[in-house]
Amino acid sequence: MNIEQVLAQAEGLLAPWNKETIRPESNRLDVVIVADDLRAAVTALHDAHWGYLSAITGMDLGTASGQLEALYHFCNGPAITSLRIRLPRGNEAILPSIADILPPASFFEREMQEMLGFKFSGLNISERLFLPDDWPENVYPMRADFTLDQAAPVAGRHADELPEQGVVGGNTFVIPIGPQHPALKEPGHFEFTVDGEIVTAARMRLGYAHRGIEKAAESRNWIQNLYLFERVCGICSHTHALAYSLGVEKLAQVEAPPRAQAIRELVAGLERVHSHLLWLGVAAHEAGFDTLFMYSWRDRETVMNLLEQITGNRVNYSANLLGGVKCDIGAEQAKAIKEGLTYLETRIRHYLEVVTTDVMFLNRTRGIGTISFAEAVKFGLLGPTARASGLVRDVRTEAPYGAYTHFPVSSVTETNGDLEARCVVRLKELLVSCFTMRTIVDNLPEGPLTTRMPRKIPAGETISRIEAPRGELFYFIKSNGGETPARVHIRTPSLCNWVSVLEKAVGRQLADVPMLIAGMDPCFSCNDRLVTVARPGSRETWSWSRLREYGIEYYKR
Amino acid sequence: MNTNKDQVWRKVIDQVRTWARMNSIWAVHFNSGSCNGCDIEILATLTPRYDVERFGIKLQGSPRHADVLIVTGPVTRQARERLIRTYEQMPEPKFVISVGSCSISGGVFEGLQLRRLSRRSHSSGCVYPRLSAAPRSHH
Repeated sequence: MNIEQVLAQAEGLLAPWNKETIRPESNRLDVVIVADDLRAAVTALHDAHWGYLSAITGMDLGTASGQLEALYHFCNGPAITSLRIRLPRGNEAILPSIADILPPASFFEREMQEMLGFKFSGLNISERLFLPDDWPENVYPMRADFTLDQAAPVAGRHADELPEQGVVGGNTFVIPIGPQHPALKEPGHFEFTVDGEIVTAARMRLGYAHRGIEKAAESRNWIQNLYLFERVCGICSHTHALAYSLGVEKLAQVEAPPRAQAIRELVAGLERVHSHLLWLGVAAHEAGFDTLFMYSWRDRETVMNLLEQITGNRVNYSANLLGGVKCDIGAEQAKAIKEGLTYLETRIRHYLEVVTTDVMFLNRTRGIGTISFAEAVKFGLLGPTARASGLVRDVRTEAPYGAYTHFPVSSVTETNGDLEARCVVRLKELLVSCFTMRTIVDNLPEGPLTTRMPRKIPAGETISRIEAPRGELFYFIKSNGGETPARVHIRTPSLCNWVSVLEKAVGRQLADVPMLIAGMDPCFSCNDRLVTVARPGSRETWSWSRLREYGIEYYKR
Repeated sequence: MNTNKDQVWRKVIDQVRTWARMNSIWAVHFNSGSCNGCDIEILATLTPRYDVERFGIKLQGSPRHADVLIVTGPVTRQARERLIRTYEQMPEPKFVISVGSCSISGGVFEGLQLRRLSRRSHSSGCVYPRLSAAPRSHH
């Protein structure tokens, strides 16, 4: 079925509640509905297995219009159907929660609640997810009339309170882990309720890396924003810049030249290699396997060298420009890339052998954190975490962008869905990436590196989806025809994957928690997003390193 | 004379202590809201290519064992109190290294809802710490 047919199918499913149809882009269908029909519309799409809920964007249409808008984006391959709902700006912007139908929606709804002041009936979580606890009530940073002085901290509250944990069976034992993440020391706060060894409930708190990027984007021009978005995440910086550039280029109806697209894909591939090797090292460190950590990071230096040679920097390569790329691949670099790739392929094959045969490592990964295919669909998982359960969610194959139509990749899947499968998927897809990168280097199209971009981007809305190392990255960009964007909404893959960690931790023992969290390759800075363990008996605070060592010691027995 | 001997001893002990401190600096790393770019580079200094452990430098978990606090990231509101608390838990003498332009001046996040803290020492002020300047071990 082609895109038109797929969209027509969605339109048919939504017919009973459709108030207005808009086609903002060739692959998108917007259906305007009223808040009361939201649950029925979502259920219709869900029951027909039409795509998956990728993101919910909230927008403030301005004080003049007096309205807020919510867009629920469902993606089916390259086709996207968005449910648009307009609500008054006052305190009556109430929407029914869909978190019981679609679990990933709970995080999206909480974000909208905090940032824009939407209210979700049926969502019984009022504690903060992103904003600090000393942020005043009823002040919504993404609103158009927000000013910084409104955000003065509320006296007597700390910026991060330990969430009030209800008493479970008379006693609770709380292990807050954070805001110091394992090896990467990323801040976050999780809360697990424990009964003896077994985790009985899990909650989390993000917000330690919340820097107000989406709001900042509205007061910086299109070019400045490129540099801002590169810094959302140091590990997947290129993917953010790429998603943004592709989106803005679409709005400007400009296409970057083929050579630039190919180089973008090449740098993205190298980024994937660096990211997965980094992840392998961190996951090994969590399991106490420091030797693997050291080896994989040593080999990672090869790809860092390549990136430095091509782009001038080891992290945050800044290869993208609006309209193309800044760096070129000459003969010398091409040779170095191919040599580097050959070395990396040998090493990756070795690591594949290690993770599938090393008994100690398998003890921590085989059969642990198993997510079935059905659960992966239900939790809305993305990226390698989903692919390890057999769910092919891969924007590069489902909705190819940029040069992926000329230099395609295949999606790697496993079926077991446990931590071992996640290791294997990540390593195997690196081998696929290396192969594709070699093809690109040998067949780099000739031509310019950039194309002209207008300073003012024409009015419109666009959605840009890119496969980051952790999964689908979703950018919603709206222009009002000016020099600065009206709205940029970023939904990073880790935000969707957190739900699986929280659900899977329940019923497992505490010692597995560090590996479960590491297994989904969390990127806190992408989400910016804290762990507490509650056990009948007492409330206790554990640091992450204590939990990690607890896991290692437990498995030594 | 006794005081002279004491002074000599004191001097020797001080020298030993200084030598010990200089040759085994234990650092605690705190991410106060960074994008992780600087953090992964800090971690990369531990790994075989740069191998900072051969200088006796170790990344510690507890601030109470640390001589140096390495801070990355613009200090977000939520991270601020933790950062101050971590600093206060460190015993004297202590130093702070700000890595990356975000922790030094806010970087691209200048002017957003973040807070500033004064620092006693700064790392090289380039946007990303340049590991090419760090001495490499033979790999």
